Amino acid sequence: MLKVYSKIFFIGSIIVMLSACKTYLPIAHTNSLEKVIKFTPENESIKSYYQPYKDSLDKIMKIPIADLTDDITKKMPESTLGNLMADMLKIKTQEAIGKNVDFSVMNYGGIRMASLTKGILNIEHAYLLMPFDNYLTAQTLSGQQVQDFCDSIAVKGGWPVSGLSFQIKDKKAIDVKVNNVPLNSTKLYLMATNDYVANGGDGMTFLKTIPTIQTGKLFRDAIIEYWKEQSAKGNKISSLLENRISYAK
Amino acid sequence: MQNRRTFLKTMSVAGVVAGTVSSPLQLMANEVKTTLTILHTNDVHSHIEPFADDDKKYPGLGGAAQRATIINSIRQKEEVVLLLDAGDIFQGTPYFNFFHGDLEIDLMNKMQYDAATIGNHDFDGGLETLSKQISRAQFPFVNCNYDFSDTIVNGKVHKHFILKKGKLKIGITGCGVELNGLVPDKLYGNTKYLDPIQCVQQQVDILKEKKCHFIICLSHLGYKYTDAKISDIVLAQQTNGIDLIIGGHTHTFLDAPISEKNNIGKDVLINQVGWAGIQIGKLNYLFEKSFRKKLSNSQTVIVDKKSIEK
Repeated sequence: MLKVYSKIFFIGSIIVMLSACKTYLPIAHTNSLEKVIKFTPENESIKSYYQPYKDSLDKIMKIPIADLTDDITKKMPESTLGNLMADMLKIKTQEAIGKNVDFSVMNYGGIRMASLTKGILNIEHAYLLMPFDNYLTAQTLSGQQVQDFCDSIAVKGGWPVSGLSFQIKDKKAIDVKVNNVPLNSTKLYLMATNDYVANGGDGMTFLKTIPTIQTGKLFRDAIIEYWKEQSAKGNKISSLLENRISYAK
Repeated sequence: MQNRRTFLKTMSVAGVVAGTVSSPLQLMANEVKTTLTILHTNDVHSHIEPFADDDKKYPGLGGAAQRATIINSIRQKEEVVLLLDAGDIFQGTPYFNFFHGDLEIDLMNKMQYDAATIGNHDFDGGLETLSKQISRAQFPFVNCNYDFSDTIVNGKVHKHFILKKGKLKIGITGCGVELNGLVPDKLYGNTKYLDPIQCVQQQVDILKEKKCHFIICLSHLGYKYTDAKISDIVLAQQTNGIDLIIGGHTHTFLDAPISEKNNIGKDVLINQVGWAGIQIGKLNYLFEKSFRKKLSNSQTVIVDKKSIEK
């Protein structure tokens, strides 16, 4: 009997000793994706917590201000949504500084919706498209700087532009035209852009050193204004592809 | 493994023979295995409500109340659950423009997030907003490669954090993307960006020294780039000791985590679940109490959905 007990004690001590040197190690794993779909029930406590915030926002956001004729989408190198954004940037910057700009450029990542669905456009759409507090600005660039800028845009795969066109070949911009006229490297051009890009954002560092005309107008407010003005004139909002930026064949 | 199994078998036979010895054995059997469920989001970008029903890409998808339902039901089913976020919590809907992050953080507190890292857009309200929201969070913000010492955020962000969950000690560190040229200067102020590879390795070494069973890096570097920019892939390849990288920034929808070899040839998993909170990543790990040395050369067994179905 004593033998058995000592055996138990012996085994027990081994277990204690062994487990002391042991640690938890991951030996297997599984993975899955939990899709948050329309039919996922709402958690009431979360819903009721944000509902007052939603109600106060909805009063401001769900106000219809314009009518969009067709679905428009964001794509590279050129897209209908990109063209609309760049057009609005150009028109509203001209208005804000009181003179013509030659062209406009904005960063692709600055458009935060993948598409707009035809029908009513409300204030919320402007916020979703342009949630950032980006301002309209203008900068004067030499023809050579425009070419360099277009080359950088070509590397990125094409940004929204208005009044400007080029083709992308081997990650370079070729056949650059400003308002359908070939780029003149000795001429100066006035460009509308947002302050994020003008300050060297999205890798466009060289723009940082170029003097910037500030308008003090938020891009988002400009969008809202433009949509309201078009509606007041009885116009609907629409946008087309115009081969502004394309890949050389 | 075979040796261990034989050992256990012998032990149970011994237990049956000895009768009373079964209790320490049972104790050991219970202590031998444990599970860990990791749930994660990234780039939620203030998407508190689901996308509109007429949205072309994500009609009716997402929503904080819907995410909470999924998270709660998993918490009820699983032993130990971690809920993590890889940054860009803010910016994208009017909720951020009007309430400056209050609601996003309140809801994450309510969902009981365990940790988050800082994304480039989390600077969009400036350092004051970031500082305020970190203070309001009931979970740690973890980042080791932003030097905040000359800013008001100083002392509020953890270089690493150890979560004790069930029987496990989980080490968490975090890192973020280069701010210069990406975030307007005035928004990040005197925050200094440091090399993520070096910084993360330092923290991982500390976490290993502190005997963490599992080490996670919450990264807002981005999944992969065509140029030399540091991504999660590069981070995985050029460090050692990280078990899992939960990524963000590039809004990459991975169907399943990707496995990369680290600089000593061991596997590191990388996962990222797109953006806007339209899906939640879920990883279930099985842990077994083993000899560290014995298993040090073996790899984590990857059990994917298919192999389970088989």
